[in-house]
Amino acid sequence: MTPAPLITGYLFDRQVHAGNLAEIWLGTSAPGQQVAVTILTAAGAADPATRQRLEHSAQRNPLLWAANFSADRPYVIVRVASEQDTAGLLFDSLTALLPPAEQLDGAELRRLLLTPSTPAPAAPAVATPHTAAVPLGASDDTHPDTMTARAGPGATLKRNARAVAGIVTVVVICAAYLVGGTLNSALARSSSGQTDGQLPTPAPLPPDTLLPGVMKVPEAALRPGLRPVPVIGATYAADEKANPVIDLGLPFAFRWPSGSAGTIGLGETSYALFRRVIAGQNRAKTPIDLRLAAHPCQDLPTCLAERAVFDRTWTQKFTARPPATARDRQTWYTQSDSSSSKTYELTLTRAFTSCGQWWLVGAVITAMPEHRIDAQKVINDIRTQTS
Amino acid sequence: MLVAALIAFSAGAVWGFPGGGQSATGRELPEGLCHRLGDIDALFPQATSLKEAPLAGGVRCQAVAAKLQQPTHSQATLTITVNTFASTDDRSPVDEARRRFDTEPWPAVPAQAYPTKIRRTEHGDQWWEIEVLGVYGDTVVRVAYNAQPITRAAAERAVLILTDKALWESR
Repeated sequence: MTPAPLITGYLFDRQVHAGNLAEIWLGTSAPGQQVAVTILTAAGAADPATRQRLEHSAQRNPLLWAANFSADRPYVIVRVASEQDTAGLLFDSLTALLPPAEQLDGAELRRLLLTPSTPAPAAPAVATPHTAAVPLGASDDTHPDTMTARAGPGATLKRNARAVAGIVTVVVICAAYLVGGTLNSALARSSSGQTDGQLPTPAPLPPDTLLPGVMKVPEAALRPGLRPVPVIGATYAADEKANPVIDLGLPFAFRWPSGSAGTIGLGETSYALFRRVIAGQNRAKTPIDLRLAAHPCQDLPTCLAERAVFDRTWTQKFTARPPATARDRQTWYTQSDSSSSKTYELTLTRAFTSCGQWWLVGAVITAMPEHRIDAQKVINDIRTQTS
Repeated sequence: MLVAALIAFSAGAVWGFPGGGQSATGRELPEGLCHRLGDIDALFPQATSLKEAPLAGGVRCQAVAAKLQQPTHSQATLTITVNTFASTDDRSPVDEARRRFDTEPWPAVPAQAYPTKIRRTEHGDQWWEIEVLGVYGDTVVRVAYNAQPITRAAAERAVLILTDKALWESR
């Protein structure tokens, strides 16, 4: 038996025909496909008619898998669907490839194909005339796989070297693509941050951004049994029915004439608290309207020193006349009762202390003329409760 | 092989990783962004710190001083939202961020290093709510500060500084 042909990507281990002009071998491709190869011997390769017949018949072969007609030992590889049908279809394919002088007997081929495989002898160290006829480096004419018929250990070494070179090439290409991709990514990232100029270095936050707020005071209770201390006009009688106003968050409470009182928060600043009390719920048509401001101060002298600024602040906010008449050294008022005005207005500023904290309180009450007495009672009660 | 490597490098440089390394939810922000924004005590009646809250596509930092819980008539709420954007089929991350920025019809803040918008709302005397929106690259920062008592100028200055900080720390 001649040595099996060495064709890269295939392993041929069963020779089914050994003629002077051609051989037939069975084997498998690298992916596992069963194949058969018809390969010319050196004598067959030297015969132009045999070469031409091989090439001509291969072009019409329905089982053609691969071929190389330019090799020193031209060959044609056909696929084998199964050994059972090989005897019929494959016989026709293979015999068509053989020279007329070496046509196979069908029964003999069937027997050979169905015989359990026996390993073929390895290629000899020194190439035989048959295998030496297949040159190294010859390329396959029809199949993309690398199928170079070659022989000898020198060929194996070269083939391995070429495989390593191929792997190295693939690795280098992948690495080059990765480097290029990373560069592209970096460029895209840097460009995304350079569209609006350079970011300024952040400045520190100013230490006094939020102003100090006025301290909250506990809910003030109405002080019962106090002797009325009027600023001007009428005061509540001892047994007079009136509603206490205690939920304004101010350091004092006071009484409101009979009827519901609506309390409205007008906000707080770092300087003062602002509140409003109306009769009923209709802000636009309330018969009595009281507005209050409260400013904390360190002590009485400070309160007195700050009174002018305080009066200017709250009367401007409430559009009221500043209290100008001193009732005592801590109390000032102004009454507006002109006939030209359809409303009565009474303003009050008073300095007082509550729970150890000194305050300036400003108040302006406006009322319809028929509620003039009620307005005076409210202001006088504030004066009394802040005694 | 050299030629093949050059071709592969060129292909990678042109087509490789076109999103700039971004995921579908945008660039990942630095760890501990809220902490990195620094001391904000000056904006609150008492010492406080920003709490980080999970947010799709970004980070939200928030601190609240409720009026009811303060010994003074004071309150403050600060919310800083940082979003980064990913590329879409037809828009780059920068375009996506700018599109989000453009949805707010607020007036622009002049003389800023990056596009900035502001909205001012006065809730009462010395009670302001300032909102600033800034965009830089693929990042949009929104800072909202609602505080009392405070002047408008001080609130605006603080919010603009915080916008600078948020963008700076989001790089």
